[in-house]
Amino acid sequence: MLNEIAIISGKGGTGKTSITACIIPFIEDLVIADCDVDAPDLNILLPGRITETIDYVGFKRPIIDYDKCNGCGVCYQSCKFNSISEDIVINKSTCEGCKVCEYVCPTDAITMHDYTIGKIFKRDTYYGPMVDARLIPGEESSGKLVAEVRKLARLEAHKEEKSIILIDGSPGIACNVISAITGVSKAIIVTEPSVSGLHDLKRVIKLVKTFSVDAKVIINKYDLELNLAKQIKDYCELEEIEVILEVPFDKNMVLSISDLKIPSINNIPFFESQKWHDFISYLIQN
Amino acid sequence: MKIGICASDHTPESLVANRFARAPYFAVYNSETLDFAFFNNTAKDEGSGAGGKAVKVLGDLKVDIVLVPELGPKAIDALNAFEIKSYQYKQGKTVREALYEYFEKKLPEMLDASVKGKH
Amino acid sequence: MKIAILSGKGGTGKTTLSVNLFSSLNKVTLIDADVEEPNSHLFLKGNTYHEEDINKQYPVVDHDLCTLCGKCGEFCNFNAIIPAKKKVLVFDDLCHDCGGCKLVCPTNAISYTDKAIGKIFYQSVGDNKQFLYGRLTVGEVSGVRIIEYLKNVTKKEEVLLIDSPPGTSCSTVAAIEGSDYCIIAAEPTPFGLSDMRMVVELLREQKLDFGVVVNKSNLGNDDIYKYLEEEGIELLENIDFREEFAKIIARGELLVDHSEYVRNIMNSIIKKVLGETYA
Repeated sequence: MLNEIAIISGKGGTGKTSITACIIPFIEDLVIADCDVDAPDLNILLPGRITETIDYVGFKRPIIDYDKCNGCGVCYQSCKFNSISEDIVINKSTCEGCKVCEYVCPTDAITMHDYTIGKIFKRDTYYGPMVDARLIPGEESSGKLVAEVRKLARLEAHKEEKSIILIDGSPGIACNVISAITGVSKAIIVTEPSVSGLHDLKRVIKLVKTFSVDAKVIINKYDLELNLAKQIKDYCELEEIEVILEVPFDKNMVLSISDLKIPSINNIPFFESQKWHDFISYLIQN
Repeated sequence: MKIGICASDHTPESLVANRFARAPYFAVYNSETLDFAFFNNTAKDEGSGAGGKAVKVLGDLKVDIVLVPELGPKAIDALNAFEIKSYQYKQGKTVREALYEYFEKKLPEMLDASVKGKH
Repeated sequence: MKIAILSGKGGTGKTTLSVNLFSSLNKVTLIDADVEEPNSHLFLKGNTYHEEDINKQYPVVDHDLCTLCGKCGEFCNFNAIIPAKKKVLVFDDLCHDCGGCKLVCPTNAISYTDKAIGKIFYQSVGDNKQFLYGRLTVGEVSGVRIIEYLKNVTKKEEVLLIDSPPGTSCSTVAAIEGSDYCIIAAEPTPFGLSDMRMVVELLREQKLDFGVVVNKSNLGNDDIYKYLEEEGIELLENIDFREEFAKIIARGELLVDHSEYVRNIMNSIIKKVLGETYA
């Protein structure tokens, strides 16, 4: 059975992508799915040949035939997303593709057409196949794009007979995050010892608890503020969620990434520790 | 009577799927004609709401009973509304094996209380 | 003057910039539009004097009128309404509140009812300073409506700062739309640069003016500066990474309360963006 692991974080910038990158060289038998579609960064550390580029048609958007439009404004009045202006121009960034405008138009001037909301890339990396995507900036519906990336990653896993999919999720708690953790077997939440980190962790734990998923927490840069690291641990204990790893702050992590090298295979002592290896063993067990 | 089974591929010897709403195929066994038919699960690629839609697919196929790996709360509500009963199989079986186990009354019925999680 | 503070990558210092700029100005309103994970209030520690629910509507079916014709289910793009054997199922959390099902129902069996998807909090933080933040209920799919509400109630403010959500998706667009100027909080790392490029693409598409503050400027490489120069993008300021800063931020305190260096930087940004009179 597929072991799908999602790495998420409520707060951005806690080191989710860096940790994901660090895990990759330690797992064989892997497909990588970068589901942070409005900030896809894993490919920067994992150069590889793009084997396929796919335009992702997320949903349909209205197009107005101005020859047929009589300017009556019924569509403008009916759109609940303020996506049609009074002078009947569509604002595509807020349109959710509900097709109410098409339905209400008395002159059949509006039709729904496929609309590309992002690009999906399949890559062949040194560590295994990867699927990632890039949302066209400003687009709606990143959740659907995430679902598509995961679908293609599963197909890839099936084809290449890989048993693990590692998912790099996005920050926040809305549709794109929900899409990234739906149906995974493990969710790893990367947090940091700060009041913001703790605040956002509470919200993301609340979200994760609505799924039947095995969730664990990593406190990244835990020694930057030990008092808050302690508060996070206390909170996790209360919520009965294990803090599986505490990663010390090390400038070499950032510098390694700046040199485009994966930190975990770039002579940083922490990644030779037993704790790190125990964590990896936890990830690969089914 | 029609029995639906979540299938990973489109033959009776395929493995059962490990998910309900995102199963690649639904096998439908007709106990009067003793035939299997296979249908693409059109709900599997939905961004959200796949659970309810998958049940709608089964409802449209006039399924009376469905064999599943697990169910989310939306799927349970929908199965109740479509009056479809559900039974839980174990992983690693083929579609045919899961069906036989159902006939041998080896599969537990899925009731609300047995479900973990909300999604 | 409306100024949005945003970033592609999370954790580059949007909130740090927002709250420290806010504290450096005399008469100003700040809204925290990162409604999925709002953090500004942790630093400002104001008192909430008013709060409001933000609602969305979802359909309720009158089963005495419903004929189970199935039209609502066919119309709904979001799997939120599914006609079954004897009743119509409604999944309120999937509903996008487009109004379509009611429109297509031939027997007028559908009406709408309210459901709270989040809250808005109004706080006073000293004289002449107002702070508002929104919070999306966990499990809801989109905070755009809350962001739009926050923007609407503050549209007449003279100086408005908007702490925006990270990324480049619909909620970021909702937060920055209509701004007079945007400040990108960036980091000189390969991830930071890659994510910033996407933000630049977004801002150019939206035809908004912008400049960049490079945060943790001593932790990374020079690529970001080459990029800014090539693209002709204004570099507003650099802020060094210092462990003491990380600790101050971690505790939820303001850098301007501790560091002359940061106070000067904030004043310099204010001068460049708002003009001398505000500094």
